[in-house]
Amino acid sequence: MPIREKTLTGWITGPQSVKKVDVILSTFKALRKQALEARFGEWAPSFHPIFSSGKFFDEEVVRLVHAIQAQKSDRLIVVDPEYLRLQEELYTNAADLGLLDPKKNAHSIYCEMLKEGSSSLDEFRSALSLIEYNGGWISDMLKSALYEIVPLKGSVGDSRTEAGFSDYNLLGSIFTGMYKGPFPVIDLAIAFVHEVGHQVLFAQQLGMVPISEESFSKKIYSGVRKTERPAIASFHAVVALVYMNEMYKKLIESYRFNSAKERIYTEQRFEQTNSSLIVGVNALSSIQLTKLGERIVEDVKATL
Amino acid sequence: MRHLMLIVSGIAATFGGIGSVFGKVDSENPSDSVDSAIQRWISAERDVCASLIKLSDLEEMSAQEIYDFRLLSELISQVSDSPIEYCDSLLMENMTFTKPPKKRR
Repeated sequence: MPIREKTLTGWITGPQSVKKVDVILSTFKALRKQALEARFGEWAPSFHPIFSSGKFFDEEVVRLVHAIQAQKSDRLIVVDPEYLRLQEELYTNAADLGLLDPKKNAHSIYCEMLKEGSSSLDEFRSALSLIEYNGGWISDMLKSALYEIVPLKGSVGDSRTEAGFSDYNLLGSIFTGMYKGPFPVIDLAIAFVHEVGHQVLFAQQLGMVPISEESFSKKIYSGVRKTERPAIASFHAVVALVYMNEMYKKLIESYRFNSAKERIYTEQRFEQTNSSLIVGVNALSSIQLTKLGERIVEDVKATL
Repeated sequence: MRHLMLIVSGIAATFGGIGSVFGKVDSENPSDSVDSAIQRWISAERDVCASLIKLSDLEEMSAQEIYDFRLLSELISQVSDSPIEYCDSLLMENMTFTKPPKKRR
């Protein structure tokens, strides 16, 4: 007799978590669409990450979003120059985001990086392919949770910033620069899935926070930054680390490495990430979790 | 996955009604069988449920699965069209760099 699939387990990892995130995000986007239609009527655009917070519903932003959506393909990396110009204008100037303003921040978006024929575009595409062909459910989650991947550069124009971020107010957009190490495509693929982890937790936070209110501002050890951070940030670090860990496992299991050095590098990085994850999960025992937080932690522990 | 998305997108607009169909979910007390609240939700949102579970497996759901199903239902019913301010304000450092950014000179 075949063993019945455990259909509802898996909150942050595995195929069931993909289905959960699909349903949560679809619900949220439908509600956002209703709000946009109430405000702009027939002129309302469809969902764009800029509408995540509900704070950017001014006409200039809507005009730009319409122009962007006219150019947007269903790909996560869009290379159309007009799309990239509009996207840069939206994120840098039109929406008062702060975090992407080159005058205020060490990083800014760098759409030029994705010019057709450039080596940086090759690295972005190779990293995505690595996930697509080896990632299994992680690849499905990436497609479900992401709207776009936005390239970053550093303050002196260096695109190999090794930095990436996600923001609760931009659901579906991940921002990342390139990597400097010996195997930058592997590092970039891992950076992408790290950000996917944040996006998955952001999606679940739309319905329920994982940490109880009394523990929210308590500082606990973060497995990513290796220092004490607010509990929610350290919780996010655990989820990002589990995504990195699971991707490393899948690469070690199924990727045909180009060299022995590449395999050894990946295995060593996995060991480091795994150690950080264990320390990070243990740190969560000092805070009070909600029902969602408890199920996520159980899910993470099952991967160790 | 694309097929799933189409199904989910198609019914997403009806999600606002889930809270009222399902009522206040008591996910603290998982039972061993599918209870009437879950049955009502499944009837009202059959397509959504079909994308989440195998309907033929309902009677065989374990207590853990029922707990998870209720928790997910509770979570979905709380998704709001307004920003979740407590997340915004309490997520003090919501930029999650994989490495700390260098200071701009």
